[in-house]
Amino acid sequence: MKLSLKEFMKISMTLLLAYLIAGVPFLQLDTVKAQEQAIISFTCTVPTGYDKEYAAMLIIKDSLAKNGIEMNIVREDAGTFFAKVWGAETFRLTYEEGGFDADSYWWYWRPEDMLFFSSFTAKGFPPEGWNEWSYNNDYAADMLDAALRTYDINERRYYYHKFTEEFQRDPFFIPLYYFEVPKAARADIENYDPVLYTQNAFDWKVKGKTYDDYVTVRMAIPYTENYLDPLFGMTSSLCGYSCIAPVFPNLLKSKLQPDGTYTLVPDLAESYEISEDGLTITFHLRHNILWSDGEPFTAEDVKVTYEGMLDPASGVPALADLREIESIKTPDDYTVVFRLRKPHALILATLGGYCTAGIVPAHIFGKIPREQWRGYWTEPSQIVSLGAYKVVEFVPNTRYVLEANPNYWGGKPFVDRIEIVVIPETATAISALKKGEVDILVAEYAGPELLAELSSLEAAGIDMSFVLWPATTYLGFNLNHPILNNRYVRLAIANLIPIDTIINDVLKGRGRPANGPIYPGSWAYPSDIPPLAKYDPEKAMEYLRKAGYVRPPTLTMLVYIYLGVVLIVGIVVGFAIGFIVSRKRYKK
Amino acid sequence: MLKRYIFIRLLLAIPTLIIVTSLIFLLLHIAPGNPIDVLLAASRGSREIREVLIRQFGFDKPWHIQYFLWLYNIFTGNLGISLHGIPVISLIASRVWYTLELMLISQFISVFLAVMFGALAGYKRGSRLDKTLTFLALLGYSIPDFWLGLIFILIFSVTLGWFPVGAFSLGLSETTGITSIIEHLRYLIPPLTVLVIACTPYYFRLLRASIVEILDADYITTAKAKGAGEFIVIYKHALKNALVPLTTAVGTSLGLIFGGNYIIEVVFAWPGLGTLLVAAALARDYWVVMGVSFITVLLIIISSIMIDIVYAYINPKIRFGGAEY
Repeated sequence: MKLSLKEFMKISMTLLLAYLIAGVPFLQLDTVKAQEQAIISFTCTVPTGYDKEYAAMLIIKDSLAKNGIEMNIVREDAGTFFAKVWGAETFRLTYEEGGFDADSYWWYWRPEDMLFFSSFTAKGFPPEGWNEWSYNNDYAADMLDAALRTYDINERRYYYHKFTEEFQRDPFFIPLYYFEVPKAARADIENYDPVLYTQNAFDWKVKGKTYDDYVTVRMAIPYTENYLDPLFGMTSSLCGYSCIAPVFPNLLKSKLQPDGTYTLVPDLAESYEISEDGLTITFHLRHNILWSDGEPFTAEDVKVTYEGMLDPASGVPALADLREIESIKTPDDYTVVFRLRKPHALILATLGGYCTAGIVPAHIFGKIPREQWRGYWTEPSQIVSLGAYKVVEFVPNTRYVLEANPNYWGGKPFVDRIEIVVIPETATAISALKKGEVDILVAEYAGPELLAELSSLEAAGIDMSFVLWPATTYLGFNLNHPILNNRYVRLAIANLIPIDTIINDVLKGRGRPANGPIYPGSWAYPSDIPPLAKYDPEKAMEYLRKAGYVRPPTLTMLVYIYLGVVLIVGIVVGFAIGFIVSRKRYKK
Repeated sequence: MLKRYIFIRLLLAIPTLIIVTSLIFLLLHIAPGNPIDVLLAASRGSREIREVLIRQFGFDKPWHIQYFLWLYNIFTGNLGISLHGIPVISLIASRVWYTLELMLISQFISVFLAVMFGALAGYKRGSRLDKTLTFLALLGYSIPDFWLGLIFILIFSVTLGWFPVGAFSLGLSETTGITSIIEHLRYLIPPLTVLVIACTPYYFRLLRASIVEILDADYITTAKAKGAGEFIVIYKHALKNALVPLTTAVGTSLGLIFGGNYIIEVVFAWPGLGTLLVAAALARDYWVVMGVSFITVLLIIISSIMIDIVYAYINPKIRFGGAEY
């Protein structure tokens, strides 16, 4: 058989094409392997808007697939996600039943203390606490409880350490990373802290201006919840932290210390004492403070506020954190005594910081039924407050404008006017910051778009230094799921996470691997415990074996045999074609 | 005649409103998730509060009762309360004018430009002018308005500084008189431009196509034979008939117009109804969604009545009541 060069080329091309067409499905070796041998399969739900978490999940999905575990990622809007994960009827159900198998979100803190442990419970889900993963671990629960019952910081640190050890043995979520956010504020603004939002606005200063100058600072937020009161508005709402925090102070407040940690310092309370048995906390309030309508601030205001919050009829969500309060007494106008059922180390952080609420005037809220507290104030002119700032303008979903309170007991703030504007689109907000139309972008804007503009923003005079965010990103599991219930399965997954790739690619290096729920900026961070997530396939397989899942023999041999067969068939077909072609030519 | 027509249309509006709002109500409640869980999940609130809040908001009542209560309240002017305590009426009132302003002005300009260029292109069909205009229309039609908005901001607001970046500071400065009008225009022009660029091509192509079709019609040839001038030919005879399909097109886009353009509002931080609606829907804020939908449907009904009147004016063959004329 003699072939010309042209014919040879044609035949080779045909061969190659046939080979590729036959072989293409098998180029995706990993997917084939996973689908053939997916010994474990589950769905991970990620809320929309959390793009870093979604990107991390994609990387984890690939890594799991290479090792026989199939994780399907589903994105749900935040409303649906929260309803499923938190709703009483749905949180125990698996994804197919209408709940979730695994979720990826943050576990976030207030920097002063282990505040989330106040309402989290590691044992089942009694009405008093929350536990969206249905974690049921007696030892962990005991350790968390012990950490609450003492006020000694070293003892508490010991118990949190024990908790983290147990958590790593039987995790309800895999802690992935702690991440950093850029400050994104004009460089001449001093003392702005992204973690505190506007809570410490009284301390803000602007370089180059004096107390006598009229100073305005404009801050951008991506959305707001339209609260005008400190009871409903404060608990975990962006509106609370950034719009009304300086208007409604509490007994204590957070302050960033020079060493980088946060502590609680006096605000409306000058000082406080804790009794020997830890069951009584006495606050001594500042004297001579007046509400904006001229009435004096007294202990009665504190009593009415907290008793109202403790009554479910008011509907204030902060009840969960205040549960241990048995009674509130006011022996005189400037002393408040909280009596607790058990020692509760977090009660101070609950009464301070801004995560719970602010004090409301007794002469207004004490006179209306508690069912009417929600939405009682809808106009700035109705508000009676005594913070460093007051709300002078409020356009729902659009902006809040705060002005310095001239009668503030701490003196006149440096910044006279704070305008908080809602800019939903990150790109628009970044443009506005660059051009100088806003001065600060809150941490919610942190993401790949902001990171990409790092150098151009710095060139425009914006301070883009990084701050560790008090949050732990995790991959959590619904422990009612029949497979994920087994802790070896969870530990196996924990050992199949390429955490370095995630931190480099998704966070661009701005983060570090996490070892548990507690973040490094907290005094309780157990720095000696290594991260839980790593890439160690051997260990993962060992855990899977312990869990009773054995990986079937790999398909690789079969795949090679298949490819070999295709090659031989291809060659035979090629020769056959060549033969027929040459016969045809011969016949001519 | 006209009065009776309008009266009947308004009367028919009531069942329309009821049907549409009850459909929206149903859809909202079928979607997974409920407002209380969404509200409390972020704050990790406790269980007892959940029951209390459900009772306070009236969500424990059966659906049809909730709906009829809402309907009853509408007649007394009470559109309900949002999840955060703000009356829905004030939420809508603070934003509806901005939506109307942006949408109506952009529609007027779009229609005007479309008529002007469409008639020109249709008349000079096949010429270089026509080809250029059609190409530009295709460009404007295809470019995503989201991207266009961001590029506009980048070029005209950030680099050149002619306009403010978005409208989030609209209303913050206290200027009066001519200055405030100029200020307002400066905020209005960027989203307006993008909307016009996005909207005009569609109307342009429609008008051009109808002009081309009409110019071939017999009555045009008759008019020309009668010795009527070119301008009269286009304007008086062709255009009036060409406006008919255009009016229909505007009529069908009423929903888009009054719903507020969410994308434009997000990009330019324009304080309109679109962002309110979407934020409320995501937060499962039922009464806000119902309230905004109600107002939107009302606006659509009113403007569709007006469009029908314009329709009858343009085309004498279509009148109300027919035979009596």
